[in-house]
Amino acid sequence: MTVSSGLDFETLVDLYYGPLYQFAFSLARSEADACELTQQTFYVWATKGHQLRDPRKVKTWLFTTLHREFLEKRRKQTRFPPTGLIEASPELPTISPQVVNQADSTTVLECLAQIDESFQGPLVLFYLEDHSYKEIAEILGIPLGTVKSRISRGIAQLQHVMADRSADSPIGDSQTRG
Amino acid sequence: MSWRIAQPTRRLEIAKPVDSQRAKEILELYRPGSADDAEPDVQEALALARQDPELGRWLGDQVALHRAFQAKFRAIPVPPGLEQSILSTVPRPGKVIRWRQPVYLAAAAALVLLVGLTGLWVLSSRPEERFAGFRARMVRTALRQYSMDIDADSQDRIRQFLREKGAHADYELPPLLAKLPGEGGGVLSWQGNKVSMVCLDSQKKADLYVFVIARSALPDPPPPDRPNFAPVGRLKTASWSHQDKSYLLAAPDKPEFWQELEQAFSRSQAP
Repeated sequence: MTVSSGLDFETLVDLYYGPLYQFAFSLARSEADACELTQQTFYVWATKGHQLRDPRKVKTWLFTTLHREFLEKRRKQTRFPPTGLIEASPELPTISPQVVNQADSTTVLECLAQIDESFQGPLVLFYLEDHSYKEIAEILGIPLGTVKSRISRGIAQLQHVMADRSADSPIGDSQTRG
Repeated sequence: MSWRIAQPTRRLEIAKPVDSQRAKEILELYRPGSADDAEPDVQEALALARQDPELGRWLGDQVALHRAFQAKFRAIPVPPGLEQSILSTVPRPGKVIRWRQPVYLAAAAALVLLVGLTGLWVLSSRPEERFAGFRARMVRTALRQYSMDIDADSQDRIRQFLREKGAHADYELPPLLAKLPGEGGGVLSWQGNKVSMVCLDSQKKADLYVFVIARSALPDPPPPDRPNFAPVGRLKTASWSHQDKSYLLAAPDKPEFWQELEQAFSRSQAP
């Protein structure tokens, strides 16, 4: 019996290019930028991936690299669009799964852009690839103890934004639950 | 007079039983089938949710909401051609061509634009048609939320369903897998070939997925009767061929299960 110690490059790309792109797009909100970030991530892997000692960490390594490349790219830009800060009151109604189901990804991403920037990354990683809290902390370079609260508050803000949007222009059958 | 140094008193920490409110705090971000299941406080909170109807309903709503958001993020469309663009432009590890960064990025961006505008593919190989591509695709299916075509706890019932759908139903599973209860099944397609998917209950809080495809559909099928093991993402896989079919088993990387499976294969030396 043989046990493969790692993945070949083609398999690595096939397995992760999609989720990496989706993560990049949720951050950059531009197809061109997201493509570039994804390609650059694999380029960095090609040149530095051999430094990774534990092959089980390859996913975290790739997402960490992409996030780093995103931050570097943003630093070089003259201006990054400010995001609105919505403080969600715990008394506000949350939305039902049906409202989310009836929305499309574009709508959800537009709502995501309106929540606190520090909550966006943790929230996307939480949903995108079922990353653990420890992985999310590593990828984003944030304290482990803050990950859960950022996700929780991010979800609360996202629900608030989607509920407002649903009330203004119904995404589908507006359903709220208290 | 002697001074007695006061010793700091230790506060005896008594674990409080989880109540409904505490359970909601614990389960607020609960993701079934993830690493969350291994947390003791999560297990305790889930046990309470099974007994408390109101808490159970709340948990059901939370899980449904998380799954709804998860589906939206996972449905972000990925540009067609991006994978090929990466494979065509990124040097393979160990064969790095030291291009100047701006030139490389400009070339990569131009190529992405070309693919997007004209739909032309720069192909030097088609890895998606090889076994590695099949395996990666099936693992993604197992990792993501999917709807099984049939829910059944009987493997016979799953096999009958696959037979009715004209999918591979005459597969042979190792005894270790053949004796497990079923969860469900489905008929998938890969490169125009039917793939039978059988989901089994490992009875250890982890689902197992077995994918069966015609051996002739793969240019590089796994070796006959001697499994290859490989980690793929969060899962571990075993692949083998037997007679006219190739098999792929994907399951969470739980050592106790895989040790038992490897021993079973060693004993039989044939699926």
